[in-house]
Amino acid sequence: MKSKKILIIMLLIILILFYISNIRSIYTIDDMAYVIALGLDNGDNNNLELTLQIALHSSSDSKGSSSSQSSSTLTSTVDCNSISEGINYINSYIGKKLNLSYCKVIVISEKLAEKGINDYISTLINDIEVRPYCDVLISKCDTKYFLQNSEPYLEKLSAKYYENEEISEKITGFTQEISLLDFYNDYYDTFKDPVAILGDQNSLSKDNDGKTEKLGLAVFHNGNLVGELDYNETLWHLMVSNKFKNTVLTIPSPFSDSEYISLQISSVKTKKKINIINNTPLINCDVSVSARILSATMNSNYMTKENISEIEDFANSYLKSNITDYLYKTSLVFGADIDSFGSEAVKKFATQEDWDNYNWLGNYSSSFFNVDVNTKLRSSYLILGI
Amino acid sequence: MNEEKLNYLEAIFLIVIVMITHIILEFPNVIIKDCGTSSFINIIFITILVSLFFIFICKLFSPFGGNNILAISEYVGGKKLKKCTSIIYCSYLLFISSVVIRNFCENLKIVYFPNANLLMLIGAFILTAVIVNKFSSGSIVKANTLLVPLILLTMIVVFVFSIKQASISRFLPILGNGLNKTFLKGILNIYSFGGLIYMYLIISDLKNIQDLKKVGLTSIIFSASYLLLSVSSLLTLFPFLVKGSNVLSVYLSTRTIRLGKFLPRIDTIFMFIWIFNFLLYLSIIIYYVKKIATETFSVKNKSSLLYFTAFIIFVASLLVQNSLQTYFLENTVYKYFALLVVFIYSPAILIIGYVKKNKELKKAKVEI
Repeated sequence: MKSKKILIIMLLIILILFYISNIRSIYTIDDMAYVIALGLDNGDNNNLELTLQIALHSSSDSKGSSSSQSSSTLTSTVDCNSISEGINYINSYIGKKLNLSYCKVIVISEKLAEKGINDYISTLINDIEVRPYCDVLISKCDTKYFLQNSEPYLEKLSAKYYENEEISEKITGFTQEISLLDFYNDYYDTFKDPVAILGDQNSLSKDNDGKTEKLGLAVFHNGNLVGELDYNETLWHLMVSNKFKNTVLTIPSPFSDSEYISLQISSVKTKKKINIINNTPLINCDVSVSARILSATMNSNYMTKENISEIEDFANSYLKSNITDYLYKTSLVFGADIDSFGSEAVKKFATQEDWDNYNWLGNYSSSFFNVDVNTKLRSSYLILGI
Repeated sequence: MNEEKLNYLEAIFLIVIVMITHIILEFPNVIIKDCGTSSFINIIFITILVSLFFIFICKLFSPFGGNNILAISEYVGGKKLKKCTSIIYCSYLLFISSVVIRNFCENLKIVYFPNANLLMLIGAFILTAVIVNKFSSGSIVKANTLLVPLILLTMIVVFVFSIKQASISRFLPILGNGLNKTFLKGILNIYSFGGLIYMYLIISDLKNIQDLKKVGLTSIIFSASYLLLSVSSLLTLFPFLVKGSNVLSVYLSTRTIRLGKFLPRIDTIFMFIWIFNFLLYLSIIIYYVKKIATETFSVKNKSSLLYFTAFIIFVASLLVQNSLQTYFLENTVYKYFALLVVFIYSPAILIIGYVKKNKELKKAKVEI
């Protein structure tokens, strides 16, 4: 009797499991198309232009597509009123279900970003398929052009190419890896304003291959794009915000007008101190830099006590002047605290109400800066000059 | 659980699982919305208050030996009060279990089963809980004792792996939404420890009644630590929570965990573990509703009672029309229901019983 009961219950469970799994609506890998990059741009009639870069299965034939940019991806564009509507349109003609689980980057055009992109970012962060760690990139050219020309260097897979921001940030410091979650959090944070990766046609390379690059940062305030940082300014930003990892910085030589000295900077620590005087923030930045000299000459030795001191002093004034200019640019031109000075300023307030009433992000534009740089040089030479 | 008495650890984990279930769903979100950046101060504050409250409750229980709240109600106000207490307790347990299971299944549908029928999801949970209750009540305790350490570990994992993304400055301003909301209005957040309702019932199931204080205080510490970790990770990861709201609070933190490029998202592993958590939670509630009803109304056919309990939970969970209603029921109605039952009604009965018992003891001493 008992075993009969168990059998009935087991059958019931199996039936329910079958029903839950909704077996008719299960998608196999052949029914799915995986988006590796999503682009948003201004469309015709003031609506949205959605561009998706879709990974092709190994069995798929890329030659059939008129819009494919490389053998492993297909790029498709539609005009729509919302992201979900656009995805649905593309679903209808590719005959597969688009899946955003492997989307590596969200590319947004500069024109659209100037109008404000909060609604799109909120939609994407709420999508369970989209990874919070996919990158946010602002393209100075059309997103369609950017995605079609984002052909990877030394890589066969576009998806892998999009993961390279992290490596670029570690090696050059010319850009920063900004994820969807970072962007969304910074937008809601009362301490700081968001930045995004800046993308454009290749400007550094002389190959004229029409490829794209990720260099610098796009700056946002109140959810709108307010300006951009070039790759040098991005370096100062990373240094001040304590996110700097590594770079090679070339400064004019203090010994000769025609010479340059390359420094490998591998460690920067910035101490921030903020005083609020008559509602105006006075921001003190104490930047400690550790560098190695990479340049060498045949007839001089930089590694003498006097020369080291002279290079250090020159590096200090060079960095101080550039960082100060950069900081005034963020406050006076952008009015955007992208270096999270607010996280120090908030210590001076007891309650959220006091902090909200002060309106840090509104007052940041009236900030004064006092920058102090202390560079410590070390040798990286194998053979010292004369 | 009548067949086998609960040992120290089993009793702790039985209470902890109930509290953790609510923490996974809503509590951190509600506390952050109320207190803002001072949420962690509020949690420490309410933990101290609840610990003191519990020590007081233990004192009130002391003259009654191993009697639970139902027996004490009978002692205080006869069978009528016992029936009244039973109805209040059963309503409380049935109400919260139906809201919780509805809420969790809706979230499960979003994360795991977008195409599944909600009715069948809820049905699968309730059916499993019925089967567990049908075959063995001791198995609930054993499974629970095995699973709770794993669930506690998940929160530590979430906290440790998400710390890379966290910003400590999001704990500031230190007083959040102000002293009033942190300490005065914040007192109401003791409803987060509504799981202590089981302390009023569990005493008769304990192997050693002297363990009651230790069991209660340890459960409070475990639950408070879990709540503190989840609030800390949410607060330092998501600044928008201070002014907004979300569903399935702790799940949000798990989405930020990335173990290199090979394991970019592991959120579904946590969801999988929590499915067992909710199954156990539901099984425990059904067991206690059955136990209360059997004790009070002398039900002979326990199977029918079990099916009836499950049916009520199933139907009640389907009555909720949308997630907004679920949110209101779980964060507003439940809040005041828990405060009323756990922190006002039950202590009131205990206080009256304690006074009555002391009077009787004094009278007996005088007579001797």
